[in-house]
Amino acid sequence: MSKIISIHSFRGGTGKSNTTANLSSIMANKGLKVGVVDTDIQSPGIHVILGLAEEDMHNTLNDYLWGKCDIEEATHDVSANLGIANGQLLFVPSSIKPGEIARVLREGYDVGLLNDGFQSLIDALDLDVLLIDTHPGMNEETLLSIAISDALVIVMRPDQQDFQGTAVTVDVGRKLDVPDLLLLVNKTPQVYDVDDVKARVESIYNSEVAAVLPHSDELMALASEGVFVLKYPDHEIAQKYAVVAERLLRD
Amino acid sequence: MSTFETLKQELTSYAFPAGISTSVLLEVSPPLRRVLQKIMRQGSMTFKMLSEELDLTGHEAAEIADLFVKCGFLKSTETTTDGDVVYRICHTRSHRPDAPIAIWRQMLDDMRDDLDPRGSDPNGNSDANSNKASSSKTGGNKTGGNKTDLGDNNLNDGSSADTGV
Repeated sequence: MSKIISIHSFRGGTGKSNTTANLSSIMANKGLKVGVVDTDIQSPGIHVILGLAEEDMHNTLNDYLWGKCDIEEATHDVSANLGIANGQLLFVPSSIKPGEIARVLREGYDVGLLNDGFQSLIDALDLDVLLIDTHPGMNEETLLSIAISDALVIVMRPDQQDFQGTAVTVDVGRKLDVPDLLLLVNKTPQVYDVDDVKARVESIYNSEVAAVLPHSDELMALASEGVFVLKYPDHEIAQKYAVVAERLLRD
Repeated sequence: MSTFETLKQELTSYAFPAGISTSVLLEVSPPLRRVLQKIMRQGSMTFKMLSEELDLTGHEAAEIADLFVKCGFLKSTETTTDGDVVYRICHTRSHRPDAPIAIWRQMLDDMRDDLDPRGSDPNGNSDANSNKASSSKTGGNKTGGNKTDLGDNNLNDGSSADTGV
């Protein structure tokens, strides 16, 4: 049985796409067939972390939504580029062409087609896991991905603005009965006590905190040029991501 | 009130001629949300499964299924080989809020004024501020003055988005 996992954050810049890239890479390295869809149509970015250049994008999610191709045809196997040998990481990027982003903003798209696309991708590619990288805040594709997900990971920073926005997402996740709702506290200043942050966040939202990740100079220095867990597998952050991935895959 | 009566009452209070937005899930009652979400997750649901899911008799389920379609929640797309009707969510098209387009238009108006020191006065009088005031009163539709190509293209895009295309 395939699992759909949405990675979301209410505000931008929390490290949502990095989290998606890292978790999907760990899962693929375990031998699983993992799909990643970038539904952040307005401001796509995860393709950079997954090492897919614009000129190598033969089809995108936009093409699928405009009926130009099947969703499988918009899939890019990035496993070899990333050095994933055991499993497979199959990625559906959103277009980064300004005109195509503008067209989606202007014309909208058939949301039913997006939902069908998720199901088709799972069936046609026989995926074990499908991760959906969402747009920050609340919009149609975000709500859809939360509504159909088996697990929702809400990424947040220990910051007052994030605290408020995260409450909204947690409420939506609960209302939509997402079976597994996890919080991931990212970019935590080194001076904070990790256990204290975890306890505080769990108490505020009455939800499980899967991990509290410290701010990392190595991750910042990587500047999205690659997947952190693959470059620094022994780093504390990589170990914590591995725990989160394990937790998400648990039945 | 029975499940049938509750669902019937709720469904008749809605009308989504163009289909539903996913945000509707946050507004409907939990029983209605559960069944809609299940169809969304599965992709489709047959009439038989729908009646089982809602625990309704065949007659009741038929009436509720008709209401689902009539009110714009579901569409019946096909029938299975044994004649069972298949229902899918009737999604509306995604729409982006108009506000960002309005912001773009205002920015482009401001840019145009900055680029063209003569403003919109056909006589070439420098009065950019009065031009701005006039443009905001008329919703940004300027009728005079020089326009840059960039501005014209984007204004056209904005206009069509504002009409909900």
